[in-house]
This record gives sequence, C-alpha cells and structure tokens, in this order.
Amino acid sequence: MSERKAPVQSEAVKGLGRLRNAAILSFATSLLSLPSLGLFGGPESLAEDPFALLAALIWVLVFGLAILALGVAAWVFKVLGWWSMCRSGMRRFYCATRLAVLLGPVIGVALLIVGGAALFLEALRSGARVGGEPSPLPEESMLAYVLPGLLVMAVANVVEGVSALDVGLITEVKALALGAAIYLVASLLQPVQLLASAFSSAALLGGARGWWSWVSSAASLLASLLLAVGFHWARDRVIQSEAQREAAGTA
Amino acid sequence: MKLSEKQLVLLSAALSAAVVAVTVAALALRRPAPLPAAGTGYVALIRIEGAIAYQTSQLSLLGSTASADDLVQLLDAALKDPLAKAVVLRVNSPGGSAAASEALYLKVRELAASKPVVAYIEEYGTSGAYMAVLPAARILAANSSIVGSVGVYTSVITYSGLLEKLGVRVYVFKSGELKDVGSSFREPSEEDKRVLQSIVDGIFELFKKRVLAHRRLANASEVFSGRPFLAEEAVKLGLIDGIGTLDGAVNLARELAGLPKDAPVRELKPPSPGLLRLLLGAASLARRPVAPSVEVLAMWPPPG
Repeated sequence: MSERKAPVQSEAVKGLGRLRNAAILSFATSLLSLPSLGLFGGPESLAEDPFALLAALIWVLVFGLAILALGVAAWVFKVLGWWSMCRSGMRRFYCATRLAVLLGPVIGVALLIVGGAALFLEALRSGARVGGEPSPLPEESMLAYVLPGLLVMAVANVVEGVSALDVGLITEVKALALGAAIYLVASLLQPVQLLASAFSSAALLGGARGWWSWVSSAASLLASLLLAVGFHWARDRVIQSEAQREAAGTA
Repeated sequence: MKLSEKQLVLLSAALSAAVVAVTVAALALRRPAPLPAAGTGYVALIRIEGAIAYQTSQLSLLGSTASADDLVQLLDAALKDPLAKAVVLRVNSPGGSAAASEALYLKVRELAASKPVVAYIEEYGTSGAYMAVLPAARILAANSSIVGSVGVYTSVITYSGLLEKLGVRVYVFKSGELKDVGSSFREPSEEDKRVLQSIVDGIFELFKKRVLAHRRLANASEVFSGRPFLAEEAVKLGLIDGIGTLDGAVNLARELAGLPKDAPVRELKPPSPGLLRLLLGAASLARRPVAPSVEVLAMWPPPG
C-alpha cells in the first residue's frame, strides 16, 4: 500500500526544502562577493595600477556572472519556497511574504534601472569640466535616484526575515530564528552599505565605511549559513511531526 | 514563543520603518567631501542656472528656477571669505523676475567692488541674468551661447471667456479703479494697459541705465530692441568682452586676482535640500503658484 502525505503538510516540507536551497545559494553568492571587498583598493587604485584594473575586469567577468546567476537562482527558490509555504496554509502572512519576495526585487531593480538612466542623462547634461576637473553631480540628486529602489528591496528583505523568524519560532529551531534575526540586522544595514560602496566620494559613514562593509557582508554570510541549516532542521522537524501525526491517525 | 499574524505584520512594519530611519540617519551623518586645499587663495565658482526667482519652486513658466535668496547668500559668502580671491559666475539662465534679478545685480556689484568677478555665459545669459552679471570685470561666453535680450515684459492671461463657458462668475470689490490691474478674471481695460506699459517702461529705463553704465555699446538701439544675440554678435555690440571656455574664465579670474595658475577652484553651492524635500519635491510643487503677472526680465519665449 502506497503512503500518501496530507497536501498541507507536504507543501510545508516542499517549501522549507526550497528555502533551504535558496539559503545555500545565497551563502555561495555572499562567499563569492567577499573578495570584492578587499581585492581592490577602490577606483583610485584601479586608475593607478593596470594589474589591479585587469584583475578587476577578470573578476567582473568571471565572478560577476557567477554571482548574478546564483543570485537569480536563489531568488527563484525563495519565491517558490514562500509560494509553497503560503499554500501550506500555516500562516496568511507567508502569502504576503511570497508577494514581497517576488515583487520587492522586481520593483527595486526597476527603480534602480530608471534611477540609473535618469542619473546617466543628468551626468550627460552636466558633463562640463571645471578647472580641468570633472564637475561632479550633486550627491543629493544621486541619492534621490537610487534610494527608492534600495529601500523597496530592503523592506522586502525585512518581510522575508520576519517570516523566517516566525518559522524558526514555530518549529523551535534556534539556528533558524538566530539566522533570521541576523538576516534582519543585515537588511537594516544593507541600504547604507550599498550607498557607501556606490558613492566613493560621498564619505558616507566617514572612515568606518570599509569596516561597515565587512560587518554587513559577514552578517549576510552568517545569516545565509544559519538559515540554510535552520530551514533544513525545520524541514526535518515538520517531516517528523507529519510522520507522528500520520502514525497517530493510522493507530 | 509564537507570534500572531497581527504581531508579524506589526514587526515587519516596525522593522521596515527602522530600515528607512537607519538609512536616513546614516545619510544625515555623512561628512561632506573634502574641498581642495585653499592655500593662499582660491577662485570661487557660483552657478546661476535656470530662471531667477524668489520662489523656491524648482519649476516655473520659464523652466527650472534659481533661488535669488540662495544666490545672494552664496555671493555674500564669497564676499566675506578672504580666501576667495576671485569669483567666476557660471551663467545659464534666460533671466527671471525683475526684483530677483535686481537683487542679484546689486550683490554682484558689491562683490565686484571688492574682488575680481568674471562671468561666463554657458548657454543663456539673457535679460535679467545678463543684468545680474553686468558689474563683472569681464563677461565671457561660449561660442554658441545666447546673450542680450535686454528688455522687460509682462503678460496677463485672462480666463474670463473660459469661466463664462463654465458658468463661473467672479465678483470683485475694490477700493480703487486700478486696484485689480492685470486681473485674470476680466479683459484688461485701456487704463490697465497704460498702467502695465508704464511699469514695463519704467523697469526697462532702469535696465537700460545699468547696461549703459557698465558697457560701451556699439549699437544701442539694436541692443535695446530686446532681441537676443549669438556670442560673436554680442562681442561686436559690446555686450560681452569675449568668447571662451569655462577654463578660460577661471584662468582669467586667477590672473585678475594675482593667483598662481594652479590656484584651486571651489564651487560654492546652496545648502542641500532635505532628503524629504528631494523625494517629495514634485508633490510640493503643486502648492506653489506661479504668478503670470509679474514684470519679467527674461528671454521670450523661454528656452525649451
């Protein structure tokens, strides 16, 4: 006689498995992104050192594409994972998370593209040079163009982090709850970190910029690792409880 | 510990608000980019861009606006800073309101009396913008720039026909016959036209006097016809001193101030608008009216 799992429970197991895979891929993405923090000394050193420039080009070609592919794959797993979690009927909030995870990056990236295009047009318009030095665009207008996109993505990450924390609390997997908490902290720091790395001249965060980037990246890395382990254990717990419930039902 | 659906929503909202707060706080705490070392002195660069107006709206009938208050403050800062040995005014403006342009003119005159001022017209340096830079020791312009348009105009737009079609009636109670001169709710009377024309003529006379006080014109009647000129013609007519580049204007300012050739250039900028104002700027524009019936020292039609 073939065993049949209840559809509600199997969706949860499926969802947690996909979320684990997404976390593993996110961990790999964070790991590959780490060299970019220390490998190059910033635009100034690239301009001075042709070897650094060559290394940067190779890094962008090889690692950049790999990071992009891994990032997209992680996102797809996340969307499918929260989709299954929504269908499992555990929480209505997971359906909102599904939408946030799906639409947040789409809207955020679209806003960044539009902002980038507007920034490019403004740079073309005010591309005059003063005393031999390029006349920079006002920082405020740069921030106004990129900030909305970054904030939309950060808010989507927050919703996702809260849901992961909730799964950790429900399944009583401490690693997952801890990973989600770190993920939330990393999400809080993310827009600042991205702004700091985008505007080398902005002196955002002053001398603490490099330190801030490292902390933020380390937090993302640790969060992904804990989430991967946590979702795996949570999945095991759900499978166990399903088996127990099924056994009780059969008895 | 398990969270309810409501608690999850509240937690997400609170943390999302925290993301925005942390980002805004980090931006507020950022340090300004270091300025080039001034040493014994520097050339201050001030941009006069867009229509000159007192209102702080970023848009008007004449395009984007340059706040006269901000510009006067910048000119004042250059005047008071002993290290600002010379000032370059980088102009790209079709002009603006008579009062705002006059305020700039007076401040530039005060500045030019104490240190060398060089004006560089990049695209447009017409009407009120031209008047504002008249006291500069030298006026240079890019080859394809448009200069002149020395004149004044005012326009009255009436909606009486439109309101009548909509069935809207406006009753005006006034203390004197000409209290509502230039009103949009009725057609201007002959007396209205006479009053408005005399105001325009009065401001134009003032403008003419200032041009004649600062420039030696080759053909005054052509200049005062109100037409704009290309830079080359403007040089021939005596409206400007020469054609050049911004670098040339900066070097000339250094030379006039006795500064070394590598003396730094510092751009003086108005205080940054708040992030909220930047993000909500477009929405707040709707609340700022643009009065059509002000005397305007601007090129007409405004550059698109």
